[in-house]
Amino acid sequence: MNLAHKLCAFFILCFALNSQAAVWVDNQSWSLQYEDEYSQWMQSSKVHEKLFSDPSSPYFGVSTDCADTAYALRAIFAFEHLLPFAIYSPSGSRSGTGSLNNRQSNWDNLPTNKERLIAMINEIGDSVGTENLAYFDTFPVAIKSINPGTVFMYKIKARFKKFIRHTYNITGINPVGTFEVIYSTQANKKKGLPLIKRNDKEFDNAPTDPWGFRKFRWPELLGRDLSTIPKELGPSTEQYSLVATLGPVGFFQYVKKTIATSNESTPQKLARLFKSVCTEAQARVDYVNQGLIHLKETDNKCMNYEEFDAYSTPVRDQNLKDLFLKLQSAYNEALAEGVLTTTNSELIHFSEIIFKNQVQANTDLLSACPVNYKVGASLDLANLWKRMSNGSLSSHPNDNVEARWGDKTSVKTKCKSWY
Amino acid sequence: MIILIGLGYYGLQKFAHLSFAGKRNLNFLNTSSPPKLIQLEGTKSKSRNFENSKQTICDELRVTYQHFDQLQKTNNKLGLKLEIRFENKHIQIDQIIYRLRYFIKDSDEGEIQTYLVYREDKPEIPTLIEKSSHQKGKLYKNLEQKLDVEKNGEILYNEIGINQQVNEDNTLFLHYINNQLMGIQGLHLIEKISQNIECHFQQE
Repeated sequence: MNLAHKLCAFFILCFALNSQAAVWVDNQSWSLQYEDEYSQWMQSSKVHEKLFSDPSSPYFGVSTDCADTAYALRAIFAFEHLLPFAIYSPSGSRSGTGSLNNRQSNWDNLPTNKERLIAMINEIGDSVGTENLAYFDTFPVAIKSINPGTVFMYKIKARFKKFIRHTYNITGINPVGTFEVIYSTQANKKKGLPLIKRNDKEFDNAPTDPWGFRKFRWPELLGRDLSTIPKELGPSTEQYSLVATLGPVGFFQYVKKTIATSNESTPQKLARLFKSVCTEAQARVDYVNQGLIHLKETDNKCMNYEEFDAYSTPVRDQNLKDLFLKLQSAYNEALAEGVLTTTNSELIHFSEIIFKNQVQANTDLLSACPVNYKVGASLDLANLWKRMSNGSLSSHPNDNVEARWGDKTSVKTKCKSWY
Repeated sequence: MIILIGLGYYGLQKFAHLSFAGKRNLNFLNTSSPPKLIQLEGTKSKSRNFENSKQTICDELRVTYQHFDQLQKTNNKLGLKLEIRFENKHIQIDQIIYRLRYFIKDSDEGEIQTYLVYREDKPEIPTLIEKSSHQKGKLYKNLEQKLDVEKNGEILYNEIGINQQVNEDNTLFLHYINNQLMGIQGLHLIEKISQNIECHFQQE
């Protein structure tokens, strides 16, 4: 065989191999050690908001909403460590052994394994949601086993017999027992925006079987009984019993107490909640603006169901309202405990302005947390709370910016409110 | 609503009846306090009891919910709609196997019905060829129509996940493949079932 023939045979062989390319070839197996590494990786700077949206990121092009983000992070870790990755086959399997996994050749038209990985993740994003994650690909864990890498998923009733489900990826546990989380949303996915990170998250929606704190199943444990999961990973359904026994508020207090390494004083709580209210109030500017941009792009057309769903904000507005109420409750606790003297006096002052309406306008509060809702117009938290509590804010994405933020002169849209 | 609750309780009562007829002691499953539950996990004899009871609970529930068509008939009789969470159909049309998938995608403020079509270019290797949300895509509609015309004769596989109401507030998630029950989740929502129970079944 001359050189030309040999080269030709070599290229044919390469082509044949490439045409059956796995997403990546795994040569490791999941183990407790790899689970520890996964947990460390989730806490590391490698998991950041711009992981999928920064053109210089190796994973630029991954497009995720809430559950997809959990799948994506797990797949990326598996890819980087040559571990197997598999989820219960979204479209089913006649042989009963099917999964969507890294060994598949579905994406072998793409030249690099990184491109194939991104294509696989995006197909997962198209094919499944939070329900698959809860029902098939994860298992519930004991409270003491919650760690970075655990996901928290909830399902709550919404209006018109609909449900809202969401997935948070835990990236850290703070000493006082609050969570660092990273997640995405439908609107983020649509616009290719960065992931959302929160450093002091408290969950409010209690687990209801099978929703709650869960961890990924190893590929070989898909569809298997909980008793097959290594005990060290903490497979347990105790969270559901705890909710039944303690109620939602008691449950989350129990969780906080179990995972915290230090107690949170009321002044610390007040400071944390003020920061959280500020973060979410400012985040509302982004949510509303995403809708306004979309409105501009579509010549102010009335939004269809899907658009309405992505850009309306009733649930997020309710969450912000609940956060204000938590702040108010922490302020009342501080009053009741008589710890006002040991609390940051500025925070007490701010709380009095917000909840007791002691000052009409306060530049300190405004500079501590400006909500710049349109060019040249800002709200402080006291004004925002006032508008929110009297129902002036609009969650309808066809409303103009003034109506969304409850300006007195605003005119409301006549477009259909889908729910 | 009364009928709805009645159906749920029918299932529960049947289950409870069978449980107590078998003289099993369900007391250890009671959730009096969380620390007790954790302590129980380490007790050998009780964990053996638990494994046995778990198996019996799953077997008994299997009897109640074994076949999708029967459940559907019962629900229909009572005028109840099934809450389908996802459905996968594999169908053969003109020698090509397609997969139709319906599921409910999450969104920020609610949920979106989503319809996918896959084509198997190789056996059991599906390629996603159409995706649409909220309303069925053209291909999905056409294939479904064709499937209907052929009176479902070409369905090779049918998988369905439903939420079955068991009482006013709670539902069980039931997973069926080709009409057979494969799994039940949400058991902790039923009173007195409180430890590590998920029921998984093998295909017959």
